[in-house]
Amino acid sequence: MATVELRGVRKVFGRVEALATVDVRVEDRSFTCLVGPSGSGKSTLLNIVAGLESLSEGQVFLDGTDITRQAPAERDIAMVFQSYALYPHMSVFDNMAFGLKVRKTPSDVVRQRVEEAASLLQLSDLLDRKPRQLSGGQRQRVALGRAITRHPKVFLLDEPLSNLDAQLRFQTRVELKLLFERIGGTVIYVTHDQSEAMTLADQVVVLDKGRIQQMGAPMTIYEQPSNVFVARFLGSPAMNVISGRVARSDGDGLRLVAGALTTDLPGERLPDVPAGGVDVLVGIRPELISVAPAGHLTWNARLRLVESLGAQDLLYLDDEGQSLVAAGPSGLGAALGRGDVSFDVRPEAIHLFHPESGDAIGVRHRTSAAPWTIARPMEPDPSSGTTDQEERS
Amino acid sequence: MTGSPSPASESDLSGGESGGIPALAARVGGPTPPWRPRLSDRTIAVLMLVPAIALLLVTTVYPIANAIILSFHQYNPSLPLAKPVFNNGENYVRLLSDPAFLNTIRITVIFVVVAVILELLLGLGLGLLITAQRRGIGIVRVAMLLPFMMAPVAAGVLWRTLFNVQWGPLNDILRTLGLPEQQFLASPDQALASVIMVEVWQQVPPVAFIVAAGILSISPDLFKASAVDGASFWQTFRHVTLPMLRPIIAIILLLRVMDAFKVYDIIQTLTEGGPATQTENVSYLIWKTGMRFFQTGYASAMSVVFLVIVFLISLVFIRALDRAQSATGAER
Amino acid sequence: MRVVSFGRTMLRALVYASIVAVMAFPIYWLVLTSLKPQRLTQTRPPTYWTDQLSLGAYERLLADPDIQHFFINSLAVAILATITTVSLGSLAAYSISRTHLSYRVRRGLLVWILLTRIFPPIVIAIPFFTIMRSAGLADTVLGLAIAHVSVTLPFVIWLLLGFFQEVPNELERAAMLDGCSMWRRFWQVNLPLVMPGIAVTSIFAFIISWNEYLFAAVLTSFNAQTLPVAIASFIGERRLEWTTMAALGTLMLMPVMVVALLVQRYIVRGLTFGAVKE
Repeated sequence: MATVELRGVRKVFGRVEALATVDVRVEDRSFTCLVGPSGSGKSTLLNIVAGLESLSEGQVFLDGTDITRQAPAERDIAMVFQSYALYPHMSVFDNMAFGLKVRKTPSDVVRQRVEEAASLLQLSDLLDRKPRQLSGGQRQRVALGRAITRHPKVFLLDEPLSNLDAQLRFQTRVELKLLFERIGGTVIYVTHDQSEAMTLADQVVVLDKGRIQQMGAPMTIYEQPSNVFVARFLGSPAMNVISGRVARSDGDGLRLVAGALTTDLPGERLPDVPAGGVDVLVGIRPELISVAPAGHLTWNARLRLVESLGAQDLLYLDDEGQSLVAAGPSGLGAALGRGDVSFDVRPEAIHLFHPESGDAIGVRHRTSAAPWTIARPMEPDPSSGTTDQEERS
Repeated sequence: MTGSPSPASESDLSGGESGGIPALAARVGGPTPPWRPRLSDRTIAVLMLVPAIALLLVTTVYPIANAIILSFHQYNPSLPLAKPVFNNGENYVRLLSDPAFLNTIRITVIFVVVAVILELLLGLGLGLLITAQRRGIGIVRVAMLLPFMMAPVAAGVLWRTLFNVQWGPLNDILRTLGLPEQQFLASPDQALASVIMVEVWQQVPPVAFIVAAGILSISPDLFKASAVDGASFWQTFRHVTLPMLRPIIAIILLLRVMDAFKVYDIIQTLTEGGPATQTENVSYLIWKTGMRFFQTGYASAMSVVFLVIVFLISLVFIRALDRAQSATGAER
Repeated sequence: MRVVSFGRTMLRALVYASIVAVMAFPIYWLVLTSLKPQRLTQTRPPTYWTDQLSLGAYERLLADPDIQHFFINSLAVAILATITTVSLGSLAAYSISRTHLSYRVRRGLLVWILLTRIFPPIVIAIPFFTIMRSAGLADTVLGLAIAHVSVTLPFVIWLLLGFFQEVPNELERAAMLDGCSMWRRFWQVNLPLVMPGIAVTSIFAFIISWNEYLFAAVLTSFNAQTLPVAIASFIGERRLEWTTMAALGTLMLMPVMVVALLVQRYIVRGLTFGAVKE
């Protein structure tokens, strides 16, 4: 397998900059997810690696060799497309064998490789079928198989799960992870779904508006987002971001005020705060807010709405006009009832961002565990209630 | 790894311990030469395009250039030793004062305008009709296939029998209805109208099919919205169907006008340009001048003038088509 | 549900019947005339039906060596022209559909191709006659087939372009990554998928060539003469043999009608140069 490196890659469509100068390094046998909303440039980046898109500036290296000018056919890279792009007129076997046949591989080797891949993907009984005779999940596996049989240096996967229904998507996500661990392939995976990126990747590259917002291990990015975009993009429900103000308190300490939320922060969190204080954006992950009946915890808020997701309750709080979402254990919402409640956030759970640029400011250390560990923060995707249970069972 | 497994990559592949593909790779082995396509895609793309473009160049640009050159010469190819003789644009001078040529232009324009307007109006009506999902519409559609699949020469022969003054069915029908018999092709006043009638008979069905396809491609939601808004059939047609059909009507006009200018076959078998020259259009006169009288130079001059006229009119319609398509956001 | 009155139904039936009559009666007349005895072709009032039907005219036609010769020519020209035009056209259409030409170049190319179809054939026919004569191709099947290709090629390119553009771009990309050159992508990925389109286009090209008269009349005299020329020359030569003429007209219409019914679904696309899909 192989390393992939993009150096100073830039792509301009007419006057639109699809990719600002981007540098990415993908390690051998690593799983890299390019994640971002649509139009973020993630697919453009993938197509550049594949050679399907020319680049305006920069170079692409595969195993240290400059492949910038090579045609896709010459690159020894396999790709799984969002629509699977199976050849409709070929059987499953021929679909998987085509890339090898084109490269004049001896037919016994072709047969051997296709059968290996087919058994790996449980496609052995389907080799004679045509793509139209397959279910969505089976087509997706054929698309994977077509890539695997080639033994390419790099696998590119372009939203391979997005055409599957929610239940199958979770199941396949797990299988994908196991599959590539087993093959030991170098994978670049494009998705708009942050939960896929979090669960699959060794390295996550968060893109927005053609720029890399942050790059690193999933948990690192999750815990230390470099700006509001990354903070809100990763994690579900998304991180709360409300406006607040930090001022010097007596001595070295700092005092943060965001509505009812008033807390002391250690002075080293935000050095150089002027005497008058500064406006900041305050970020708090929903699962790190504890909520209890009025009077039990530090600050008061109004509970406006409860969404029960089964395993989890989402509590919509009104903190003096600013909205906060808290995630609590199932049944908490019913126990509290509408009206006044109290809540608490530990100072370590608070992220601070610059009010204009949105960049993270100050020094923060690892977040401590949530008051109740109902779920590991990165795990489920509670926005889709049914599948959430599926995942859990 | 399919191309040239270098030692390093081979060890990578065989390094896996869980069996499956990495283990397999070791068995694939054997250095194979690096695989590479021989020609670049761009070269192949050009090579694929060349034969068609070359043929079109040879079969259109060359004859036209030839026609332009000959149009400045006097040339009678039927004489064994004749050579083209340059005559200083005399052909064009003669053309502009040739009543026969000016007459054919008049006839051609009348033919094109009347035939295309009739085809469009009847085609719109028939198109609306055959989009209705009613019993019996299948028979109507199949019946409509008949006229335009017929070779125009054959249609000309056929209608000659139908138009026959003495024993043709058309006059018989008129008699049955208590109407006076007509002369049709034999009458200088009715011959052109009769030719137009045959052209319309052949060409209304394709127009109707195109209109029907256009109507079916309009989102049904628009018709539902119009119905909810309480629009009558005519209001819907006027304010929804017709505006949405604009690009399609532009395509119909472009193709029909161009084809109507080119009509030659029906005239040949229906009237041979007669009576006298009452149904002689430009195409027919060019044929007659060039192929019967062998005034090749003069016929070429006519061709060039005709080509310029048709070309300019086409450009106007292509422009209109562009506008219509961008107005409704249609494809292409 | 709206209750449709009996009157409305009758009215509609009447409208349908009159359309069918206008469209189909001339064809009925053609077929009937071909089966009538000669003496019933010119009666007053016309004979709309007779029991004395016979296939005599067809037998005479099919036994006539000249007609056989013209029939074979028609078939040979149409087949040769169709194969050539579809081969060249599909290569060109694929190339245009997958090449990243700038919008202006692409549009210019397509408009030019469209304009070549707009040229009145008579304008090209006479110079063509001169060219063919000097190339030794006058009055040959090959020469006429080439002329027909020049007529159908623009149409075929436009029509096939639409079909090639319907092949998803991701398939093309997948084949690129599978290591296919453009040539192989054409043969092994695109062509199998546009086969229905090729079939429809071929049928259209065949019909155009089969029915074509002007080039056939100008470029051939006897050796390569085709059926449309034969039927047109009947007008002068066998003016009174209406049954024979009608039989020939029917014979010419039949193969075209059969294929037209087969591709009925795609007819609109062919009619509009591919601009409208049904």
